[in-house]
Amino acid sequence: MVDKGVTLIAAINIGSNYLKMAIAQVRTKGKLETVETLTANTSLGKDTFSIGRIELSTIKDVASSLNKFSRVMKEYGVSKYRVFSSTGIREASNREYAIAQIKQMTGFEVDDINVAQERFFYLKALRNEFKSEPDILKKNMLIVGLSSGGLEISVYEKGKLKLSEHLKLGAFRIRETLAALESNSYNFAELINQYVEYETHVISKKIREMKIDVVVGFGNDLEVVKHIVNDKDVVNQIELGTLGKLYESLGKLSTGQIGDKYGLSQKQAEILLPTLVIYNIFVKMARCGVLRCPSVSLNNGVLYSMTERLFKGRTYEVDNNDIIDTVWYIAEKNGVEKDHASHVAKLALSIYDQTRFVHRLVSKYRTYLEIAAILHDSGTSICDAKHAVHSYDIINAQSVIGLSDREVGMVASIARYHSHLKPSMTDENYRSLTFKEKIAVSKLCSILKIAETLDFSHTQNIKSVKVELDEENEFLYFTIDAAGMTVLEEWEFDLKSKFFEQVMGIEPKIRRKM
Amino acid sequence: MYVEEGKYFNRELSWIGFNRRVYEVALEPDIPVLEKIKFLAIVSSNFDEFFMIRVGSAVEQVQAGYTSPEVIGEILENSYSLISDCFDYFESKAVPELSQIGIELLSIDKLSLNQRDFCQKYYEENVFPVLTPIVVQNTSSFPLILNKSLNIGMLIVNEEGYTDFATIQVPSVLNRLVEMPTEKLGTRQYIFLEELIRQNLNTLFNGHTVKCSSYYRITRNADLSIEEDAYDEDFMVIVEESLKMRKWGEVYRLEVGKDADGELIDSYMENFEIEEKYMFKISGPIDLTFLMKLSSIDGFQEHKFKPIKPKVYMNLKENVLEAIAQGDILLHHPFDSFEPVVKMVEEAASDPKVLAIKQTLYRVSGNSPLVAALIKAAESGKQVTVLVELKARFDEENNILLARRLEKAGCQVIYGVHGLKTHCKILLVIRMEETGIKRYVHLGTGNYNDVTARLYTDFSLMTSKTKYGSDASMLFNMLSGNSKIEDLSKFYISPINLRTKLSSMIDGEIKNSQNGKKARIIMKINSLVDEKIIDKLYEASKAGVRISLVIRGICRLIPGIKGVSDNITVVSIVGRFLEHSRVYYFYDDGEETVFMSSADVMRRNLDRRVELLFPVENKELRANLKRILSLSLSDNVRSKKLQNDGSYVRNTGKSKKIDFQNEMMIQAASRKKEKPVKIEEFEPIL
Repeated sequence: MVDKGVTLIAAINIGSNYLKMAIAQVRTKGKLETVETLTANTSLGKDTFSIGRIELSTIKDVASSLNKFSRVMKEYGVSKYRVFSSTGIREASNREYAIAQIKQMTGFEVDDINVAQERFFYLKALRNEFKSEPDILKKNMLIVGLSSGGLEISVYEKGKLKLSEHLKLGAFRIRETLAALESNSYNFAELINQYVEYETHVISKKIREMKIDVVVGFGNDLEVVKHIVNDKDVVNQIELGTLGKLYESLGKLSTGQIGDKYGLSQKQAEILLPTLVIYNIFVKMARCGVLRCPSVSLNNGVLYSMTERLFKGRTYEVDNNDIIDTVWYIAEKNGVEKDHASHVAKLALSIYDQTRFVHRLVSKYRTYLEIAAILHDSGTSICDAKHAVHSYDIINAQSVIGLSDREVGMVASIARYHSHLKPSMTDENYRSLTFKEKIAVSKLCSILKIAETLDFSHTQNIKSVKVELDEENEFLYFTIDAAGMTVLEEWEFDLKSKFFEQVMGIEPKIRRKM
Repeated sequence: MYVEEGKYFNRELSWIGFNRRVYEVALEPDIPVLEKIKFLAIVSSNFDEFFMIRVGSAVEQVQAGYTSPEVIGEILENSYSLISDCFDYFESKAVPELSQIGIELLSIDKLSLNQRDFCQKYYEENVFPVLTPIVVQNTSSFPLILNKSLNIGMLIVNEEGYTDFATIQVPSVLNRLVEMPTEKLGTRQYIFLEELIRQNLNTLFNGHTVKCSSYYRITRNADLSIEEDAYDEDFMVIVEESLKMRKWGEVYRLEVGKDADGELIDSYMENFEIEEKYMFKISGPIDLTFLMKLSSIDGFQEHKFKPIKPKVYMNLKENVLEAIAQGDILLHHPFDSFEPVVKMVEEAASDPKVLAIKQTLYRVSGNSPLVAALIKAAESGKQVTVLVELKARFDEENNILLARRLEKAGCQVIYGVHGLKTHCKILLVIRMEETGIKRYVHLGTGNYNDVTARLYTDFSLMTSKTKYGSDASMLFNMLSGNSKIEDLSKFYISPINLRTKLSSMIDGEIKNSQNGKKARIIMKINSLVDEKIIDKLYEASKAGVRISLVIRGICRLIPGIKGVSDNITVVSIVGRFLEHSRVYYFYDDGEETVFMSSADVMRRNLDRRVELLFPVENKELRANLKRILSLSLSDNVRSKKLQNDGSYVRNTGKSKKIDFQNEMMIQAASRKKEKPVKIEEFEPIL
């Protein structure tokens, strides 16, 4: 008999080295408490990083572990769960087959999340972890998230994202990459150090130019370091000196000796050295004496996200500010003209909000539109003539925090059709969308087209737009409030508004505010 | 005693030493006669296991060059000496003493006519039908003689004058002691079944005459090695197959009656392919384990220990789970009843808020109420996970049956981690309460066995602390193969980190001592065998750490070696109850950390089994444990101190007699409610 005031939820992360499940209970007020965590080994990372594809035997092992997890979920009466995969599956050439086979063997639908979604969940977990000290989020913060397959670097200045990079420098990946050199190296620790310094030299330059107040680290591998530093108490921070000493002492030991000394498994012992190297380098880089290391995990983030859905009535889980901060970071990197982009975004959102009764799209699409509007001209950095297509390519290659690859693809398509191009079944990107997605993309790009025409001259002459139906419900009037000449905008509006009519089923007309 | 590498006693010889201490309890004047014979039975049974398990392994070690061949000689010599002492004592003291209290063990020639008639009738009606005489002719292969079965061997001569070997098993389905009708009031008279059969041998072999006969018994190597490479197959089937192989183990002991004819002995040795040094001539009834049954004969209460009345704390009489929710509970069995542990499972089984019950089972009693409760829980739809250790030595067959029963009832039966015996004692109840999931945990130092819990001293810790609960879940997830162990908060688990933790705790004391701080270690365990930990203790002694070890059984550490172990004392308590609890105390710079454990300090416990070490955090319970440890160290009645030559001498020195187990019984009896009685009069630990 399960108490109705408590809901049990679970998150399962299919990682490169481990499968991890967290079961949590959520009370009526949305308070989340983890009651059980499970971990099973997997060779997904080994397969993916060494041969590029996942062996069938590995898939079967994953399925077997998931079925065992499922039994524990049943014991607790878990009512909602989310199963997701990160690098181990993401980078495998046969990932679609792997996901389909896992579903067939377990019934679990695996959500193949991307690095940006990972970052989003980690950030969510961090925010919750730092609830008791909100000031920390207002400081200049370097976040170093290390997983088996990758390294997530983000810098926030006073709460705004200033830098975000994903490097293929996971602790396990480093170990696998350098494995062949270990037996030929007199000082393997130094070799790892050199390798990591080389791989991070670009980002290092940027970080050294910033003023960092706090370095925050997280990830499974860091948990092992924390345990070694102090096996009695929960460790929330590690001094740089302690990291250095540990690195020095481990550098002289073989993997077996490390395992014996600290009671670690072979896998844990193998990744300890790369983990220490990475954190040592980044704490030094930031010129901070301390590494803050709260206990956060992807599963935490996912569970918080699920809790928000359950108890806060939020239909879309993303904290919009995080997304838009990331998008502006991408925009700046690609030389987007900020005044024009932000103005088009503002107009597009305004039109979106005023035409809800026409397009009837759910709120997540508003964010897609905003992103597409900010990045619609990013392709001009390559070539003006085909800039819309280049914008599509640039956006498609980005990691946008909180968005899946499919969602990023939709955003890229919206941006692609902001100019004279129209969605066409001959375009592969459009053809691959589902029917619903095609409709959404078409509606959103028709809005973006109009917003873009309203700043065609890049002068921001049109300050705002009011959208309303005429009395006979025959036309949709776009009443513009402009400071100067708007001839170009009006001319372009007439050219591009036809598509809006085709999609929305109502003819748009432009008029100036009297 | 034989010393290895100059710093460790030989474990087998130390084990024999322990059994000598058990035997010596029988010599104590204050022990009632029916209890004395129980100690003889225990020694007899222990030696059976010793020859089945340890001797074979010791021989293999010699063959592999790890141990000197002279060790085997010393093992056999010491065994022979102790076994002889037991039989001498039985014949010269126990039999007359039993007779004095009205239990007479007679030989057939002492029977009255009436009794002889009774015997003959009993033989014809009950014994003869179940006898299977076997003649071994030169051409036939030697029959399978069952391990530990009592037999009568004989040479028989046929009409043509040829001599053959014949054998007959004394049927184990019949009582070893055949009770005689008697008119002596208040007296029970018995004869041995084997004597009755021997008396009638001539009726068994038509056309033959019995030339000579003797009793004999063999002990086979029964160290079960299970082919775990085939673990993916049905593990239960693999264990069953291995059990069949045990019947054919090599013979490592031949016991023969002292009157055995030389020619007959030659036949035994030839047929069992055994060297003379493994032959034990017994002057008395072979196999004294029958004394266990005799010791529990109805009546004769004044010649037995006064029955113990285990106490149940008031708050545990009503609702155990509720009591645990109020705070941690420590029970010291058998002085505190085992009943609350059984009740915990029974309550959980019928509690609608309980979602799941998980438990490890190693050795359970015949009609275990725990098993009944688990079955009830599963049948009522709860998720019940039971780890049944199929490899629990000599309980394999019972456990296979148990596993099948549990599975049939709908329990998820698991067999633990590949290659490791699961020895930890843990019970977890998961309950959905108004505030959410709450876990109740029982952790023990002894088996979930309501019968042995009345005979063995063990501790139980019951807690609902979150971290213990989540560690318990993690442990069960590991045992079920659901998850690997990560980030334990309170538990230390063999073979993962238990050894490291023990070492690091000793290191901590070494460091503190070197820094001029107080340092103290007390361990109360059953065996100390592991060389690495012994070395660590020597290191601690050298660093000035005072170490007191209460080790009931094997101890390979040599105390009192100048400059090596001067600061270590070892005492052994052997008494009415089998000391079985495992407690580890470290002064820990004033923290006074106390752990309880399922593990002894043996390599198998630290490296080849799943064992559990857990701290006792509640201050009051810790104080209670300290008092109990202190009391055990103060014992000067049943306790003996290990000398550096391997001998044990009575631990004297105080005028006031302190019998640890007796004191614990008195305290339990005088305890009224929740609060334990203070034991201030005993020497404090520091």
